[in-house]
Amino acid sequence: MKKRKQLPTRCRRALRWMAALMVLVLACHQLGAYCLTPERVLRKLEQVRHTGETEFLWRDDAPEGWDKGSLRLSGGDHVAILCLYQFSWSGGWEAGSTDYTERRADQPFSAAHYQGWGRYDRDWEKNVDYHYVFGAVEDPGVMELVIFFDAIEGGFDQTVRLTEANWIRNDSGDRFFLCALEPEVGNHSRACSVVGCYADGTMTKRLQLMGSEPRWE
Amino acid sequence: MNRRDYCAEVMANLRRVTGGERAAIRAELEAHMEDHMLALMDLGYEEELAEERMLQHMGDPAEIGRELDQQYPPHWLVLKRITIVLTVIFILLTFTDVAQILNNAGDSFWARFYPEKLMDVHHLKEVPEVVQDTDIRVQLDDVMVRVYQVALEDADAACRAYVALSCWNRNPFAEQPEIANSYFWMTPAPLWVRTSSGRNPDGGSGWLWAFRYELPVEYGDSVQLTYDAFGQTFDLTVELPWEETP
Repeated sequence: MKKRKQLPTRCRRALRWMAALMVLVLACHQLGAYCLTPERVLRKLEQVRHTGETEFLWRDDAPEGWDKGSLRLSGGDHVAILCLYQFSWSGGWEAGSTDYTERRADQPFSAAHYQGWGRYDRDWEKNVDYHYVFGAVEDPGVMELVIFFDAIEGGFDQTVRLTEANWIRNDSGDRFFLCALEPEVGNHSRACSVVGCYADGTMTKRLQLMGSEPRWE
Repeated sequence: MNRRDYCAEVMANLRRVTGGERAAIRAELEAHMEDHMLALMDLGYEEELAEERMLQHMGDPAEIGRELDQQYPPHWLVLKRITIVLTVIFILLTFTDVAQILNNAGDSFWARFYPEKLMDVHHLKEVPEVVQDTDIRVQLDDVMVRVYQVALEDADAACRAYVALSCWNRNPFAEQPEIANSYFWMTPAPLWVRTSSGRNPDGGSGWLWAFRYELPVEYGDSVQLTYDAFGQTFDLTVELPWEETP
């Protein structure tokens, strides 16, 4: 009697195909071709700039008018990253607009300005822009940060004070911050700077955020 | 009724099976009937009698057909087909990204084992008089940075020097770091390249993970590579192949 192979049942065939699809999806996730989680996207962002590992500290939905997604702040020993994470069935989780700020122990704080997509407001017939300032406080003596947004052309000036209540702390107790400024309407030119304040009232140098790179003054 | 008619009667009652399944069932049924007949013939039955007894033993072909049909519920077939469609769609959606990652892995391989040699770069302003292979490496966690070649247009006078740099991630499929090529890509550049007499590169060519810097140099200069970003630092002094005395 000749040996016959067992007929694969429909159930087995279907399960094999499902297993193959799952392996394919997981392989693409591992390669970074189709990220199933925002964490995988974050790993890619870390690798590109070789920043070391970070963790998510804060998240919020993208502002009105932006493409759907979540704005997330992540921080590590050497960097703070603010990025818009977006999901689509065709591409998985992907990184949108991203900014990095390097943490340096020889500076009182690190900061960067982030501006994602604006939107056109039909009622005002002007562009509405959303600005964020994020970073980390390095000097334990710095009790407060003051953010100055100078609307040079259009829009309005803003001054924001960040204190203990505003810090976002990671497991190591490092202090990160994220400041969402009021939406600017019709602003075409701007300057943004940050100053740190000590308990005795003295101040750090001013960090100018706009331009090709942040610079201390 | 013979074996062929019996099979046809069974197959006529299979309504839910696909073409492939139908062929597999027919082959299995015929093999089963043949085995049964051979067993009877081994016991001494004549072929025709063996076939008759075998068909009697098999039972009602219509009933067999209906029972076999029950073994093929439609939902698994539908699920399989949906899965196949999803798999094809997924492959089409990720094809470009996967191809890019494989391309990155290929570039990483070349940067690691066969970076482009200076003499193979056709657009060099002058053919270097001296070309020297080097193997100066520095490791930044998972990333290796390597100076693999230096060259001078004139080994005993002020001229142009070339420093060839490559870098790769230990994981070839990882995002390749923007380290070797800081001349065009990043502001601020984490990799500073300058001569010992304080001059910066004034040209270069390459890609993200292998780059050849071109620097104006004085006789005796060396090239300093300084990297300081995100907690990783290195400071390399690359000696150039000058002649002993000009």
